[in-house]
Amino acid sequence: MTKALNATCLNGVVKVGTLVIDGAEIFSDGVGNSEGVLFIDNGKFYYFPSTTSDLKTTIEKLISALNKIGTTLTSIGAGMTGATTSPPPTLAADVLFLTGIATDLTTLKETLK
Amino acid sequence: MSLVPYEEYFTFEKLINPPEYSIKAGTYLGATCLKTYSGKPWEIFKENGFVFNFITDQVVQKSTINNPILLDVAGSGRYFISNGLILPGSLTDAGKITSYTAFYSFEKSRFRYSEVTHD
Repeated sequence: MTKALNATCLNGVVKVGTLVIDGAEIFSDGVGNSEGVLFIDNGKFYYFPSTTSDLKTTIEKLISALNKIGTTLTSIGAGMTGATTSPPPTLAADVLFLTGIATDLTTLKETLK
Repeated sequence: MSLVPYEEYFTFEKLINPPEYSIKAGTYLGATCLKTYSGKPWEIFKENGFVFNFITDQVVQKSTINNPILLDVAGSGRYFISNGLILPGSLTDAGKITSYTAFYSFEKSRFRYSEVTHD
């Protein structure tokens, strides 16, 4: 008989409420702290983290990056009139913003739950 | 203390709808658990060393039950008899009683026991 309980994993220690589950096998690619589900199967226990928050964060950052790419390209296009070849004044800041998001996503990947 | 019907047998009221898991250092029907385990209530009792003391209406460690009892063989060896309902954890020559099947004879006003298991 298998029982599923809400659980947390903090620094590799799985808990149900305040009770530590010694010997729980943790099924996770990442090392981040998490909330998830503990399955107790007779005398064996397995912890699966919920990765919904990881996915949500990833999507939000991608949306932000795409929006920034869109506005940057629009700005570049608006400056491409006549003979001028000057980039829009916001270009450097926009590129910095996009590389910042790339850094955030790299960090997120490393700390996946 | 009275027995109440539950599924296909009788049990004590406190043991109706017990949890189907225990967590080490947590509580199970008021007793502190020794193991994290999931299963039928009697499996959880066995893994944690629990018995139900129907005198005190508490789930306890069987190590706390130390009263000796004598089981008489009757019915040409087909069953045991004993005065009253045996307290799980009671001590016989064969060890501590951990489970049994009991039938009550209204005709003779006593219990007959079979399938008695010991530690």
